[in-house]
Amino acid sequence: MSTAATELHFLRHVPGNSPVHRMWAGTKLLVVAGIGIAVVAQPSWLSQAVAGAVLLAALLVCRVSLTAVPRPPLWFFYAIAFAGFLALTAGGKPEIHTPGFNIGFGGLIDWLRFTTLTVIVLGFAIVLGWTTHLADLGPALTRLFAPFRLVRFPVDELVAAVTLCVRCLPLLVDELRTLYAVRRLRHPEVPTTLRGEILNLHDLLVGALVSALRRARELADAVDGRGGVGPAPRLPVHLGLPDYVALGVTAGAIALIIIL
Amino acid sequence: MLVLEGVGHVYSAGTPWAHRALHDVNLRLADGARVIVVGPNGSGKSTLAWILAGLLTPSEGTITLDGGPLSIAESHTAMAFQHARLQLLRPAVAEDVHFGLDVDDAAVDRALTDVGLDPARFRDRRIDELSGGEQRRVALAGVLVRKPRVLVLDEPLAGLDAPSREALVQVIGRLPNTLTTIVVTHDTEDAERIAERALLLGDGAVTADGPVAEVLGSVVGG
Repeated sequence: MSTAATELHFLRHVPGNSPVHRMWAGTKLLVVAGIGIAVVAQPSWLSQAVAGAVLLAALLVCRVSLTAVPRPPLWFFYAIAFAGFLALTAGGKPEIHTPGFNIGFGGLIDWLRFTTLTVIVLGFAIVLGWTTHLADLGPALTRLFAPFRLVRFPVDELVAAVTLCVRCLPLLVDELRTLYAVRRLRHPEVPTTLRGEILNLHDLLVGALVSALRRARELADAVDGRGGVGPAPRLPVHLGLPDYVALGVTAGAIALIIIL
Repeated sequence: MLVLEGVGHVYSAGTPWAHRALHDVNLRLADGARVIVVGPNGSGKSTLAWILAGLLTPSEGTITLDGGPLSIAESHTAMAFQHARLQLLRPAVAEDVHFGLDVDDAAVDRALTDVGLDPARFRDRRIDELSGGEQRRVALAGVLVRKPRVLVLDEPLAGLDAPSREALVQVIGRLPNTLTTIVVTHDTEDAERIAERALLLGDGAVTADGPVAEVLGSVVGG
């Protein structure tokens, strides 16, 4: 039977009234995009330390309980550890020389750097999800992308696509849960061979694809039924002190990442 | 005998999203019992269905079948979901009913006949060519061929046209009388034809339990 220990709550809102909760969704998107792009473009340890410090500050300010942290299944950590082992076999400097053999830690250090980078970027996305209602993302994107209208960029269509994707995410998760349950009920034997594992994954993926396509078709019909996408809502933006502080800190962090 | 003692469930326990869906459910279902579970949205029907199907471990209480644990691995339980298409894992009908089992073609044909589908006509049909009602019956055949002891049907009649609905009601009425059948539904129109006992759920607890006419009468009467 399933247990609650492996439930994932990615992008799920945690009610609260912290400064991060009160920020405009667009500010949070700018912070995540700005620091995310900067640290990915320059993934040095010092850059990551700067981005990590901003993330830590955001975590402290948003006052969300640590019980909200996603708890991935154990196999996820095994997979990451296995990737680390493969990276170790790649060798590279620095090396340790012993009478019997040499070990190069270059690959392992690169793996550690990119794993840390991934955790930081995911961390920002998680804080965004905890503190932002998904419904606020559409109007925020409309504002952020507004300048692109000048070059005839299809902002309304893009925002509608993003909004629909985000809205469909819980439905897709629900259907995947059903698919997994069906697979367990109709084929309860746990696969013991690699071929069995691959077939198992194949069944789930095909089912998920069929389900996603069906859902997409229904959504498209629903959108057509209401007369098309239509212009995205342009709600007024009220920036407060937390927004200005966050944008200032982000600008400083990006400058530091570039300089360092 | 399927027995639930003090069964309760909290989703996402220990997180900011903790939500109690069920509390203190006590039930005893004899082999072959036919029960319909009704209640408003959010009353805990689906959670109870998943627990009865062995898909969810209740956070509180115990569920046993003849004194032992309820086991999916031994095919004690089966569940037919509302969205039958999600339950059909192979492109053709017979292939799907066969899925995950070492049974001969005769067993597949019997299962199709049990759900009112002519094997000669349907065995080689592609899943996506079937109507919603036919897909639901193929899904049920795929479940019955495993010979479960407990069968949970989640909203089996939702969204079907009148002929498909009547066909499925008849199929449910003909299910083996040794099979404990639990039907979770909003639809009470044919309740007395598919069950003899009804459970009414409200706010995660059983608020009425008795003969179908009595329990549904209390709902209508307020």
